[in-house]
Amino acid sequence: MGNKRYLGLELKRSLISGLPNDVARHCLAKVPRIYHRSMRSVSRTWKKTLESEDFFAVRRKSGIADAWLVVILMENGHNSYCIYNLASKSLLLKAPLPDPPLPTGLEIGDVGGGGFATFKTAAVGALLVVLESRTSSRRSSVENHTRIFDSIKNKWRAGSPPTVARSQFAMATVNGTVYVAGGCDHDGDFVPATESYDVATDTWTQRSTMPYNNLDRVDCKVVFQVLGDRCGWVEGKVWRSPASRGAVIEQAGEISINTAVSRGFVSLLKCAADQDDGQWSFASWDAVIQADAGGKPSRDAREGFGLPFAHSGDPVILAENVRTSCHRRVFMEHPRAPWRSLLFESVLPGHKKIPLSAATGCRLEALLVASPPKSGAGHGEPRAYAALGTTILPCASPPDRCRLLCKLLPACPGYRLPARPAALFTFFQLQQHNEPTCLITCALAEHHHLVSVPESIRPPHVNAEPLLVASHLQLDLTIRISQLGRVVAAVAKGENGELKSESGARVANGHPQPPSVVRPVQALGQDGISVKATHHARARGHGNEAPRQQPVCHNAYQLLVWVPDQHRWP
Amino acid sequence: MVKVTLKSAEGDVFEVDEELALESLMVKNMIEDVGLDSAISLPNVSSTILAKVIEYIKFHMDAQKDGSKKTSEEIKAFDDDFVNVGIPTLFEMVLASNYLNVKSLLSLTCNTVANMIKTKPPAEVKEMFTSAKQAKA
Repeated sequence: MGNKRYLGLELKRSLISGLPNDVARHCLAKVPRIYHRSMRSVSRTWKKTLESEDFFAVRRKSGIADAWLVVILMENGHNSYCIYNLASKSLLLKAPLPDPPLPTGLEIGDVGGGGFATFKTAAVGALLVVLESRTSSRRSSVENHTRIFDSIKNKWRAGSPPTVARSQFAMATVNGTVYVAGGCDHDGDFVPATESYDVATDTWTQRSTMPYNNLDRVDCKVVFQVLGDRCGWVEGKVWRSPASRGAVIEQAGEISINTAVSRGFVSLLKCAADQDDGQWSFASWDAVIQADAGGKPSRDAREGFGLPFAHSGDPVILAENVRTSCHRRVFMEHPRAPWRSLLFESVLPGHKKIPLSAATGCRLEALLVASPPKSGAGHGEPRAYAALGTTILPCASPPDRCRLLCKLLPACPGYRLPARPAALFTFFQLQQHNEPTCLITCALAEHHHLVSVPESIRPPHVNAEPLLVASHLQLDLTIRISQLGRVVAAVAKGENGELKSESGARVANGHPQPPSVVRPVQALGQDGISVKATHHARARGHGNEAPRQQPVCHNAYQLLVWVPDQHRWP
Repeated sequence: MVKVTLKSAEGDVFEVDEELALESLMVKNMIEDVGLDSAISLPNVSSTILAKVIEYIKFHMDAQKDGSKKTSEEIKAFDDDFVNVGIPTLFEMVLASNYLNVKSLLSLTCNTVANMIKTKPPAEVKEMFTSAKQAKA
């Protein structure tokens, strides 16, 4: 047994006396993460172990996954962050964010004097990267600051800033690397440079430049979309004059023909609205997507994967398919998936164009877009929703957000109107050493109404009703959304790599379907689910093509799920 | 049915069905290497623990058989009872299942340890798992 001194030393170092350290680590790894905080106080050896990379490798190997949800809040000008455990549905921690405070909004925060600040988040492993930009009041400079949150150690630290200063950029994680692209410099000029960030080494690397440097200074806003292991981006301004070799909008009398030409590349998408029956038809020159009058993609829609477009009446959300050298560069890292770029635009009569910020998730992305009937109440209100998990979040530009919320959820009990334009949410999924963890970044104003966050995970101060509580018997707009939410929730069950269509089936089978509402979600693939909701301004019979669509009420939805593995629409 | 002879640390001999013995990956490898002719020596496993491990494997093998009438509650009850032992014995079982490479038992015993950790305050955990007293007990 050795002498006493040796024994003492050994005992001091072993995690659990009586067990070899590798076995002891295995035991410790089996303890759910919510207990780690108290376990850290057992001994220094335990603390060190719990914070080590090895330990999480063991946890990963054992298939133990704790889903965490991090919510960044803005309250009274101060940021705080909440960590929720999704498994135990409990709040683990709420703590103030280290100064300086983050900008008040994900998109735009006012730093006073006419300057503005933005920030974006991306998750890499157990780390959350927050990159903020501050444009000075006289637009003389843009500063970027990188902050990193280590969810294992529960600590914030500073990272090195990108080499090219920019604001309103896009940021996304692809295969453990953070990519930053687009945005504008202090003059508001588009920044074509693309950079990647390696969190482990805290280094930024220049990537190939986006092929937009000869364009006008309009393309400032870029939003990445991550879909499975694919990555795309959304531009704030899609439509441009023919001269700028961008997209074209033609309006011929009562019939709008919207044609999106993607930057001189192959994709072409055409939508036409027939005012008489309110239907849109889609056609494409290279089979981006082809839809019949009912908005149902044809077999050729395969090429259109990753195009969560939706349309209704005049407002139209389009997805375009861009193949550029810039994206190919990113694409090189995803040999399995063809590169797709995503693009959304909502064009509303009498409204400025509204860029959509959609939810991004590692395995799921859904964009639900709704718009009121042309002549109905709430004319012209943008209603755009991105959904992730059980959550549907409204997204549109301020100041439309609030009205968006109000108009859309009149029947939601307990719902109160935000006093000020408030909410914009971005959703990410934090992959914690293969332990999928959900991350929501929320920027909220004084009154917090997370209408869409499920009860179990919403911040404590939020008084809101989950969408799912709405009765399915109601035939108003709310229920449609909640129905959609339920379906999407089913899709989101795949957090741990096992996608199930349970809830989707429940929607289909468990409830009497409201007329012409939701089609069942079925046969979901492992990853890369695209959910598409189309909304018809005036749902009439679709003829022989879609006999299930009942011509009963307004605001009919059709939910289509693309199954990438099987290359088909169910 | 082919029998395998296992020899514990004390030299006690256990004769078990080959099917049962193969549940231990370690024994399986040994059989593949040296064959069935001689007894397989397990110097790291005491007779008491080896008997328990055999009991565990036997129960679960029976439970998995087609004609088994055991409910999942019964299996759970067996497992709970099986690991309802003192820490020294539990640790010995952890070590034995690790050594013998019996995944299900290792998982069960490690989970038991993990449950002890999570249900107790840190001071108590420290006392139980990291003190020298416990190791000698």
